[in-house]
Amino acid sequence: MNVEEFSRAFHETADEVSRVLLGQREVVEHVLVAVLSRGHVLIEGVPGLGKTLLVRALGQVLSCSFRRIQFTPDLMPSDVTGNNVYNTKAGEFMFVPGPVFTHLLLADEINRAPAKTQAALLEAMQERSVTIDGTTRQLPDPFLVLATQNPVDSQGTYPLPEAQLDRFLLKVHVGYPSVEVERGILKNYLGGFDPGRLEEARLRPLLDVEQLLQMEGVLRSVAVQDEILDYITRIVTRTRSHGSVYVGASPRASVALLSTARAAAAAQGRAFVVPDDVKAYAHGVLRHRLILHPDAELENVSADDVIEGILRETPVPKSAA
Amino acid sequence: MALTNAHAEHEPSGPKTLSWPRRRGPARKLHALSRTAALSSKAALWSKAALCALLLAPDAFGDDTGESDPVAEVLTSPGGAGGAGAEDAPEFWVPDPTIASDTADLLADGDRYRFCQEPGYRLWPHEKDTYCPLAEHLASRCPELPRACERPPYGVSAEKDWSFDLSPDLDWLGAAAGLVRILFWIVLGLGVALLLRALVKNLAEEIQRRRGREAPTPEFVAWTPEAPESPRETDVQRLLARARDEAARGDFAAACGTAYAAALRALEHRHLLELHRSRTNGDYLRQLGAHPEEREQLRGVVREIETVQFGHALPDQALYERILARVTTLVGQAAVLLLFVIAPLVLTGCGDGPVPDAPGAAHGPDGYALLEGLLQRHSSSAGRRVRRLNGSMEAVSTFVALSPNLREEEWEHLMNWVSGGGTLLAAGVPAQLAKRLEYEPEVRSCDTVLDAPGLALVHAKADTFGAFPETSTLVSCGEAPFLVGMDYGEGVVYALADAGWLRNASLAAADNAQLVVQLLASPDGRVELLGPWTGSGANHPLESVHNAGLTPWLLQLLALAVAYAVSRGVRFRSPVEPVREQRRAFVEHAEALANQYARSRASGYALEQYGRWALERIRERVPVRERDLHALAHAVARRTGGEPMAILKILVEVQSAGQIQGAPEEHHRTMQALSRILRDVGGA
Repeated sequence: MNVEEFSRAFHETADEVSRVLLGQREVVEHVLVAVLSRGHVLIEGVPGLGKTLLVRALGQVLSCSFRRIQFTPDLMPSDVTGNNVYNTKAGEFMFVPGPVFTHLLLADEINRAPAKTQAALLEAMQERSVTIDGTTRQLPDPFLVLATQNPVDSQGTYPLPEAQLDRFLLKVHVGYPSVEVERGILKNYLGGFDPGRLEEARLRPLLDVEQLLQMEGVLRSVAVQDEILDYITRIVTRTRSHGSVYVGASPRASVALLSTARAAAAAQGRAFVVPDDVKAYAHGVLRHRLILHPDAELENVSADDVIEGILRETPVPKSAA
Repeated sequence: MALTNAHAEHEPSGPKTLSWPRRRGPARKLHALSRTAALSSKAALWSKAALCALLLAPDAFGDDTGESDPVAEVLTSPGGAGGAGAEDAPEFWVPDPTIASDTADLLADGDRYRFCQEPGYRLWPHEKDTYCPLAEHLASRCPELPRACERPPYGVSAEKDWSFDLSPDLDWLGAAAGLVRILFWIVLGLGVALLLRALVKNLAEEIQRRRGREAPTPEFVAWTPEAPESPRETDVQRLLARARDEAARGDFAAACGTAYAAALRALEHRHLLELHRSRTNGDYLRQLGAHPEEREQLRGVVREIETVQFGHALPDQALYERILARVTTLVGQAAVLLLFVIAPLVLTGCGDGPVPDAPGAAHGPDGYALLEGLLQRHSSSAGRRVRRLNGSMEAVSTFVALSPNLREEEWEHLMNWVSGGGTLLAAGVPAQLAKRLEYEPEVRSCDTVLDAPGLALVHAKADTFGAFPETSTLVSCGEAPFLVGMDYGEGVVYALADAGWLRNASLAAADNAQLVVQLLASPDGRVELLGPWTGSGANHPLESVHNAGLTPWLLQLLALAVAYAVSRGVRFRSPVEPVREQRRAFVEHAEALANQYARSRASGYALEQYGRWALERIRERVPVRERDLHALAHAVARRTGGEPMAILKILVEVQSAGQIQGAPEEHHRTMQALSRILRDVGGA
């Protein structure tokens, strides 16, 4: 597969998912980029914007196994990873895999589970394996967690600590659709669309695991100039010295930005990365990795504001200005 | 020849027949004698010869004030007899060779007297009508004026209202003119030098850059594209020229980058883009969202240029040509728009040959610079009077009135000064002066030759006076007086019928200057020219404001400012800078800490801490022997009148806050209830 085929497949997949998820094309592409970059995604948005629908549709289009976990305050770690259960007939313990043993895992409202359960999932995200009773079991490849969280719920929630948020490649905001898009959503409903019965939407399975792995291989051939590396490094290191930031982004963020930029370049049909690719994913990669000073929060400065300011002051390589 | 004693009694004021002009002494009398006698030219010649002999004897007529008599000196000095040809010239008006040479010398300055020396000079229509009849008399000193008369006049109408003098004329500054002129040329020279230096430096750098450039790397070597060498160049054409040069040298990488930079600059000049170092090519394309045509053109360039800058594409001629074609389209659009803007400006800037001096310019044909220059050379000092005639004029010996706009009080002041012993030459007799001279203005035209024995005077179209009684005719035109003189108190007034006779082009002709200089030059005093410029200066700023008629406006503005200040109030102390808060208020710290607690969902912990403290305070206020909460709740209920079970519920929630999870709202309600209980029992 070459870059042009990669781009064609990418856009076809995004188009197919966008058939059922209207007005969120950028979100769909961000999630696809994360999938191809082997990174996990944290999707944040108010209820009713189609976060769950997005992941379910993506699972169908990618022909990947898909499981969903609804996180609740009483969810136990074993409910996520699985457990050894004694089989009386066999007279031995048998491992019952948890929902984490899948390609695509939707962790719905991850911030409603207690810290212990979150930690179990996050360990699986990082290691791509689970260890139960001393036995390490590998998770399927690719393994991608798409976690959602509701920013307005505060009762009975357990926000992810910043150190664990760093494990997510991207944090994507899902916003309200425009008036035209919402009208289209209503028309879809009038046409018989039911998100609860997504299989009736007849989404085409365009990619499978093998093709996904091929696409990941294409990314490795995308060239990155030293100037682009300098650009990424300058952006990330600036977050560590910014006046409004208490804790800046780690080198993991630099790697994440590089990975997403390569995927973005390939999605555009280019075999090389340009500064636009870096800029396009800077917000998604960095916004959940910055801990702001309380003073900055008092002044209503958000992480996105800080990132925007850093991008404005960082010279683009080979700028004609 | 009978000499008519034209000597008259001197009176302090009022015009009198000129008989013995104070300053000139015998010469004046001679003049009066020759005129009033109305002798023929030959008889006048002989009579003058006889009288000259008398002049050799001092105090011949007794009323000698002792002042030097320049005319007498001219007559008696070796050169004063008029120089070459003086033996044949009448003794009265003897041409002074220094005046002639000074006139020629002044007119030879082609930078100033352009109408005399500048090839191709063209006259205004009215100048052509006025001065071309004198062309033959000007040929020696003003060779270009006769040629100008053969050319059509300058195209712009002379009736145009020139509200200011376009030619820089600093002569009215007197001695300071030279210094100002030097300073002007120094500043101009510095500016030109800086410009030349920048150009030479730019050129030298360009040459050095071209010489020092290396050959492009061969294809088999890993090639890294370089950014354009002068990314901050903003001129589109220079960028395109540089791109062409780079392409000609084979450096297509730089050429592509430079051409792209030219495209961006062209769009920036059209205000479609804002270039910044932090903006990417995608940002520029998004900025062009409202201009789809330019966006598509630029998108094509961006695609090509990014393969060079960030990909590993080896730029070649074909790539460069493709980029250049798109860039040229973009730049061409800008150039067309620019052309529509510039073309009208260029077309309206077309001239009609070298622009002549503005009508009335000091050194133009209609100016008075020649008169001023000659008087400067032959007087103690001479210059234009810019201040009003309302102060002391002791330093001035002669005024030359060239149609000034004087107020009535200024005429009065001037004539009082004349009657005290000053000399006034009025070119033309305005009404205010005519009234004082008791002259009924009457202007006639004269076509014959001006008569001044010893001098060849010329005129184009001379105006003459009518009957001007009580005066002595110094120069006549036919039978009519052209230049007359009269005593005025202790002073002398000369009246010249034609005010234009003293202008540069007229004065330069024949011996016109001779007459004027001999008449007005004052080696011991200052000669001042009164004209339209008189009154434009001031002794102090307030006078200047008054002269401009701005005093009422300024007073009103001042009154308005005072009223405004009063309405705004007066400060009771000097303003001070507001005290800058170096630290945040405690409440902000508390708020920030509360946000941290809230983010950490630590409401239970907060309730636990607050509850521990509040319970201790309640126990202090309501002491009970038992330590359990049940006794405490009943004691509090008895104190406050509240419901014991409700109070107990709150106390139990507080005590178990650290162990049981709860919602922050619940914790907050519990804290508020506990706070009310504490307040009811007496507070902390």
